[in-house]
Amino acid sequence: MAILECKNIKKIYKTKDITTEALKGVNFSVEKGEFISIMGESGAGKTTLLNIIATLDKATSGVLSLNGKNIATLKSNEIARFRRKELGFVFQDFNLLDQFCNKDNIYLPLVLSEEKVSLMDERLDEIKDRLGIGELLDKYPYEVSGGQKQRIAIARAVITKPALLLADEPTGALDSTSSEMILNLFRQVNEHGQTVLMVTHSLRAASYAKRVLFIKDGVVFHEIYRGENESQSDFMERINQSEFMLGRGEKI
Amino acid sequence: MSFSMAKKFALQNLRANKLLEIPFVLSSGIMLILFNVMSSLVNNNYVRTRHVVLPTLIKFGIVILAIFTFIFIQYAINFWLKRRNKEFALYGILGLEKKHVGKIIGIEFFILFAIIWIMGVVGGYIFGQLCFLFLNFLMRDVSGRLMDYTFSISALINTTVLTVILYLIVIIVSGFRIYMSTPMELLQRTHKGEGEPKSRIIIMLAGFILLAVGYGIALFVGGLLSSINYFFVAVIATIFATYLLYATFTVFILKAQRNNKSFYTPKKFLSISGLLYRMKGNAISLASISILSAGVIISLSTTVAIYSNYVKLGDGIMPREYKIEAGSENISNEDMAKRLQSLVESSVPDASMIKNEYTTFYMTTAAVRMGDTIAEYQRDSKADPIFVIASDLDGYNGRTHQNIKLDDGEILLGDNKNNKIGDTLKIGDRDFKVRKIDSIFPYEYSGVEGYSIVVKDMATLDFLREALGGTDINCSVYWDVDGVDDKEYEDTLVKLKDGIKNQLTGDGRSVYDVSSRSEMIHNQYEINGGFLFLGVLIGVIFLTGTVLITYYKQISEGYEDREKYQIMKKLGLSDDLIRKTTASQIGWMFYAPLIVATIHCIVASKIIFRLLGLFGVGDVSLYVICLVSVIAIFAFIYFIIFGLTSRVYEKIVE
Repeated sequence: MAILECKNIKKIYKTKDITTEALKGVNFSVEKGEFISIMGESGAGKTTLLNIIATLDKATSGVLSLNGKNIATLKSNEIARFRRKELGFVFQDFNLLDQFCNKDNIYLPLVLSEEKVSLMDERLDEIKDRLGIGELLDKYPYEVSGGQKQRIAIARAVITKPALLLADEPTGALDSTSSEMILNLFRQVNEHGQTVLMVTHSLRAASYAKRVLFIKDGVVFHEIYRGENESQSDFMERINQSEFMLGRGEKI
Repeated sequence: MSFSMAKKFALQNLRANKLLEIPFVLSSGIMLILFNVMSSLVNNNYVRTRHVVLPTLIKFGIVILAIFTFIFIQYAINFWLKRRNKEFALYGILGLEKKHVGKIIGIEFFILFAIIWIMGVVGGYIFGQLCFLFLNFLMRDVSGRLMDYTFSISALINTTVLTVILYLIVIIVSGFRIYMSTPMELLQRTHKGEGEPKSRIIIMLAGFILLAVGYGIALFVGGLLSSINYFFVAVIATIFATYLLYATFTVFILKAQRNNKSFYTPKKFLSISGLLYRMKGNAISLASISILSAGVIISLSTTVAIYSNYVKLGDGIMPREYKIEAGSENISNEDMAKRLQSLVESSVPDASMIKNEYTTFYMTTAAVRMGDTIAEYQRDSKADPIFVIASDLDGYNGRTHQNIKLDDGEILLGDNKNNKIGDTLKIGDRDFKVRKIDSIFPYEYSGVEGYSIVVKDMATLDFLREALGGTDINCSVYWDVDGVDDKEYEDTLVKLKDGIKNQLTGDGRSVYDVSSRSEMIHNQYEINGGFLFLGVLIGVIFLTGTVLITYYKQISEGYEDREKYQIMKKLGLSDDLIRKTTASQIGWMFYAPLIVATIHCIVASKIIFRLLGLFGVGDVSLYVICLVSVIAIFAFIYFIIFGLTSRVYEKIVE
């Protein structure tokens, strides 16, 4: 069953004189348990697409259904709830709140959903060792490194057991060692059944996914799957080639 | 870098940062205006001449206001500098030396502070003028004119000194910051939160000790004359205690709340952590608001009490509508009484128009009291003097429409302060049996211990006069009048008075006086209405300060919180919940200062009531009524201010 389905999504920005078509009709779907990367250069429409999927922005036209529900039919007051229940977010700049300790940052979405404290503790126990954050819980975001922050952010995103985990350049602000660790975490989370959709322009990051979509000029230009026995470096090489071709504007 | 180059940079920056600077300059300027007006009150004629303690109290107000201006400007500047860290970092990255940056900032602040200074001086003068005009107009019927507002050199000097000190401190602090950090550190500081405040037990203890000192003095130190100095100490201690406790005790409470299980419900989760996170900044503004509020309440309630006390006094000082009074002459008391009575009768066409007339003889003196003994006051006496008014029984009966009889050796005794004399009173070599009566002691003397003694006959009155070294025995006749036009009658009385004067020029020593209650009340308004004026003026000054800090706080925090709420919105925080959270956070901010201010005022009320004694207020219930109604009115005004400013906050956040 498709967790996410995008049908002919268009997004048009209008200012007084200029009309910009950021998305010209995006079509794709995400099955449960998939790990998908969306690649594309700056200005290709990646972030616009992600914002629309994240219900932070509205498409000008097209149908977006998440977990079988058409987003457009949600009332504005339901959107916040929907976002909390069905979506998890990991941002490039972490977006942790300094006013909370790391543990409370992780609990934030559950608190907003008015869950019981016992449930929060339970959920945290399930994931804290896998994410390696046991030591960090009592510290504050401004007391830990970037990689550690991102781990906290991932914990915050998965603790609600969302239908879809959205990540926007999650390694964009990290050094290579931290990036490696965070990407491995994504893979691991995915292996535990979590559906992941990641936007990136890093080859290495993309190669952790099982499928890579290429966006160019507001449409999905191309997609490739990782072969069952294909090594990560081979897959990365293929992504690289695709991107190169894409850059030259050739149809592959 | 040359000066002109640095100047160019500075001017460029000033233009670029307009949005940050305008509120800073405006609010600091207004603070300075308030300070200036307050400073200039010391030189006001009314303040100088009306009462000995007034200038001291005003000076004290100036010191407090200076502390506030200082704290407020520091608070505003911190906020401002934090926002500009990024810019300073960029200078470093672009290759400007630190001393160049320092030079630029020096010039920038010089220009800003020059504007603030001009605002303070010129604005202070204009604002003072307007205040005086407006208040004089508003209170034209109930208040004496507080003279005119004049340009005060000492206020100018005070304001200038304060501005210069502030400027130097700002330069040193910001310069130090820039010299001590690398560009990267500066960059990070823009976004870095204040972090969670630590629980500082020692500072909290210090706060509690200061509070205990302040409250202790207010509650337990006795003595009237020393009250003022103690009062100052108590106020200063309490002010610092308020700051320290807001910075520490609130953290303590909030942390305790956070450890509570119910912390993990949306409203508490967001508001408690939000409050805790910014407690350092919050503490300063909340403490300032609390103290300024207490200032508004105290200055208004005391002056209203003083004022209404004097209004009430009209009745107390004059038991009847009119009075004629004469000092001793070389004639017998009986003749004197007859002479006065006939004068009264001559003022009306028909004697039956005189109502409620009575004649009384009295003498007044300063004395000392030891236990149940009252003795003559000696110049070198160590005890505080008390005041004695002795009068005759016939007069008392006439005044109160009673028919009391006294035995030999029996007296009636009324006092204006808590019954310190028992069943017998020893004066000279005689022991008198005491019968208590309600005080008929004039209110205007309620600052000192006073006794009104009513004696059986003139012989006893003479005895008291000898024993206590009192004045000669005076005679006065009181009466009401019926069936005449008030205006005309007063003219008649004036003529009467002038007539006596002409008649008696030869006798020299004697003193005649005719007075009316309405004239007396009018005089009281003239003289004491200024207190009301002063109180309202100081109240306005403190209130403006309160508004300013509340507003600045909401605006500055609104911008900081905006980002935070944006993130939370992404994580699924609904607009509805944002509204609820801000409402509860704002509620805290609203009630905390109000409650603290009220507690301060209640604790202070005892010592303040004693100070009010210096101004003749001796009626506790009067003061309580004034205090309670001023608190109620203030809460209402504050509520409106808060409502308006928090709407601004919500707009920014959403």
